Amino acid sequence: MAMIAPAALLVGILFLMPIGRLFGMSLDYPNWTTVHFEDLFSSTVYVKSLWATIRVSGFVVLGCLAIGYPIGYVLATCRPKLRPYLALTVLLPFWTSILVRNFAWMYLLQRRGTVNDLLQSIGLTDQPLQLMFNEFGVVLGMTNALLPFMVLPIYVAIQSQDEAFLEAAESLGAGPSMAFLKVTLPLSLPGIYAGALLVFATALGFFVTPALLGGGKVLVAATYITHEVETLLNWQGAAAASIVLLAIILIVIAAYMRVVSVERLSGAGDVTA
Amino acid sequence: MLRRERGAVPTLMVVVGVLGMIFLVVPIVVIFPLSIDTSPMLRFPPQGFTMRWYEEYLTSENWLDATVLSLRIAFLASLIATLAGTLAAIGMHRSRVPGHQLLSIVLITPVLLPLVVVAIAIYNVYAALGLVGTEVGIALAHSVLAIPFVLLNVNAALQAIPRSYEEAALSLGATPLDAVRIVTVPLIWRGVAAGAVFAFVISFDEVVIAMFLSSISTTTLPKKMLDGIFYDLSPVLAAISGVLVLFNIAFAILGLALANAAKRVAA
Repeated sequence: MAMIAPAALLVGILFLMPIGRLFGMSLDYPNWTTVHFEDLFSSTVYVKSLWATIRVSGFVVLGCLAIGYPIGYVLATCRPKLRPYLALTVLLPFWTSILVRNFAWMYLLQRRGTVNDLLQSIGLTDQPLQLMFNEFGVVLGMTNALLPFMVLPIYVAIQSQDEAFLEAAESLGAGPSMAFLKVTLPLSLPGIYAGALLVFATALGFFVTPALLGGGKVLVAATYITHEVETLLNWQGAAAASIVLLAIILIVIAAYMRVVSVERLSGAGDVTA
Repeated sequence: MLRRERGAVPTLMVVVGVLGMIFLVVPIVVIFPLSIDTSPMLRFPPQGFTMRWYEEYLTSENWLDATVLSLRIAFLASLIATLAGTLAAIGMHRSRVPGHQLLSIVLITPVLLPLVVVAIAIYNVYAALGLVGTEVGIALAHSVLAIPFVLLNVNAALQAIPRSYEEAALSLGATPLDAVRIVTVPLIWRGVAAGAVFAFVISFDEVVIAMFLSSISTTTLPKKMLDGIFYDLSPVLAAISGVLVLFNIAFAILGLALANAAKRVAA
């Protein structure tokens, strides 16, 4: 047990204790009152930001699913020789600074940026579209950032399927499309659930992308908390908002744990790392 | 799974999947034309070639100071996380204590929770301890975020070596500590190194905790970049981003190669 002590101490002093202190602060320790939570939920700005957080995270899950499932499918069904190289398109972005990726999106999405140029030159739009400093830009940037979390569990779920099921479906007369819809897709549902919950839990607490691609116009829980602390110095309010956010995220993580056992959790991490 | 004939739906999956991979890579690739374009607007085709932005980065004392500081913090954070994480992974791997699963969840939680919440929580404790704005304080906070990655990599390496190796050492009279030192550590060093590399990258790129815990004299590179993006979208940022992307890709490939080698060590 002595070998575990340094890590346990670090996490205890630098993580558990601070979170506990934050919890105390939100309840105005040692007075123990819920007044900061009441203030919070009577603030329309906060309630709106909470809804925006859930809405944005929901769209990010849908975006990640729509793009991430096909990526996982390609990785699982491509020629084995190709796989390590294709996997790099998922792994290298994962290990690249989120700040750099968001910075790139800001250039691409600006009014006179590449994406608008492209849309106009192929005649899809007449005028530049507002592609950032709104929820669309935030959802796009976060989808880009969180895709690896969706791809990996889906890849594992498709990859681990027994080929005999597909052969059985085809010998019973199902074409490739039908076999995909009736066999591959249903069998990969655990991967979809795991990926969706992981993306949702992470998206709920995102800060950098809403701050940069939202341009101060998209207030989500994390930017709300930062604003309370940095501009208003309202530490108790920020603590209460943090505890609410933590509670929501812990519920999502608990759901995730039910879908994925701890062993699988570390297994998914192997692929990530 | 290898399929020769694909139907309409699988074909659609492949098309969207390939487009999705391009979508993932676009923001990384686009940094390079942006960083060498004479016009800071990134419009295709690029207006002209210049190394001016890279020059500006490499001759700016402020940017270089921030870079060196980030490297120092990342080195320290990686060192702490690697030592603590490796010891914990070995300790948990060998123990059959019932609580160790719970402990591994607790050790992993810091990466699952919002950085903003972790940052303001740590800020409060640091304020009481006088650690706000210190290099060591930022490195310690980063090490907590990095420990899970060390744990996962060392754990994967440990699972790759058969238990019988250590048992053989023990039956030949080695003490448990000797068995770890002489048998286990030499076999898992690639996993440990992979964890150290990933821990370094995590600290080097981390911005939210740095934003809360840094002072004017301890502004890390990502924190300085964040300020730059907020206040003056200077083209120097593109050059720094270019350097960062190359650094990130090199380290990611190194870490991934080590992690793969660690899993194959006993085979």
